[in-house]
Amino acid sequence: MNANNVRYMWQDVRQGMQRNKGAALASVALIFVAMVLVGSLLLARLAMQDTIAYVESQLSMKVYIEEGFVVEEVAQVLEKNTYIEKVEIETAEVLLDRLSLFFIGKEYLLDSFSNGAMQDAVKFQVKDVQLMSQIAESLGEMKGIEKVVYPQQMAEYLASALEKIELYGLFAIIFFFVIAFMMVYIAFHLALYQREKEIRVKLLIGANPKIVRFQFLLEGLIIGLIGSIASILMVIGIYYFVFQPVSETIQFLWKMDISTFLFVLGCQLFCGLGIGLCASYLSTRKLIKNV
Amino acid sequence: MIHLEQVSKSFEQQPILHNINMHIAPGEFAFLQGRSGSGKSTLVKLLYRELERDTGSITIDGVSIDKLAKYELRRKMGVIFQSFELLERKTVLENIVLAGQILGRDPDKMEAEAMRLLKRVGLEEKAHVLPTKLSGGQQQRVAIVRALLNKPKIILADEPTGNLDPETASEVLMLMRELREEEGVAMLVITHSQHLIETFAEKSWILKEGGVYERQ
Repeated sequence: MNANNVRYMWQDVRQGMQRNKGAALASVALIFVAMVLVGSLLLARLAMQDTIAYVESQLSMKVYIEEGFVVEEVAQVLEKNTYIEKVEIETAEVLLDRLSLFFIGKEYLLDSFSNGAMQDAVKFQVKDVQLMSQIAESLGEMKGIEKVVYPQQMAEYLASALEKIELYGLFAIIFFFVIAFMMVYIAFHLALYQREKEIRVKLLIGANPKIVRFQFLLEGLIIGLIGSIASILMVIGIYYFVFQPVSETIQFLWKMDISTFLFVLGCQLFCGLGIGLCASYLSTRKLIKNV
Repeated sequence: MIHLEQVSKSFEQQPILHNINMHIAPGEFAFLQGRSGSGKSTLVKLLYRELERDTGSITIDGVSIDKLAKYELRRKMGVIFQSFELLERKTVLENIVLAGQILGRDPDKMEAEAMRLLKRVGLEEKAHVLPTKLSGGQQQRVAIVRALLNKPKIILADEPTGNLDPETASEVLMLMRELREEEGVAMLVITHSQHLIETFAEKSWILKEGGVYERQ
């Protein structure tokens, strides 16, 4: 293939896309929607993955003491457990003191907690993170302990929410992937139908079928490229206008370095190009084979 | 130049061509005659491999056509169709240079060559007109120019006068014969017209019941 071939091919690609403007635009739009979904879900998944891992790695646990039991006695029992260390008592008064730091000038808001509404608690660390839920379960059944709180619970909530988002998101992605793929496939079929004679004549007068097919692949690539670049811009917007403000407000929630962010954008580009390329490849396969 | 030996072709076990032997020498103006359905077009399609033969061999300049990629083979030939096969959305000049574009030829040289040939066939002024604005005879002349652009060794013309009135058909064939001499290209013309063969043929065959017979 020489420079003239490339020039002629580019001319044909431009003319082809202009002739099928409507179908090409619809294909671009569907690839855009599918890729925005892919990008946003990946962004959420990867940003929260670190948070979940961090929360899961925390070894601290807190138990609230049942009314009528003495916090010191419970703490002594816990200290004897070989899987537990750094036991620390947190009485209701200490907790109220700490809370009052957040309500300076409005301490009256805490009045309702001063009549025994707050419970004493014991804080401690578990030696092995693998044993967290097991220990929490056995402590929950222990006399004198009303409630067990540990970070894995939070991680489980987050993971469960994320799982649901992922599941529904996956369905949405598959749906839009299929629709986008079908749209590009139909657009190319339409283009092929309109240009059937042109392709046939070209092949009969000696055009290399690979070059003729490459022209359609190039159109598919361009459609995929435009759709995915638009989706990349959208996801960059989502990142700066949604993820970052949330991240500044709730600092522990999102965490994403630039390489992970680029990976997400790369996935969008790769998938968008893939849809355009595969659909155009499959739609051109039969016609070019038969001449 | 082109040599066919024991070439056979069947469709759904119905023999169309049976043990065909033919030879076309360089620069020859040869004709193949036959009734509708006799297998004339099938034979031409076997030559440029739009169809594949069942048995036998076809060589071009001593090389089996099976050893060439289809597009390489077709670049050695020019093909003219009964229905002209010009693209309606492209102008006359664009239709002609299409043949050069697929080879990646230089656009300026190609256009100059196309204009020279268009002038030769009397259509220089129609270069920027759409083919639909031309008469059947003019469209066929454009198709002849397109077939000649890449200087092929042989032109296969599949009923080039099939859609033309007798007078225009004679004019087109006369032009083809002149161009054959000027451009030094062999031509195999498929026709069912006895009159055209008697007027123009240097060599001719008749296809009958699957076999080919050379006329003396």
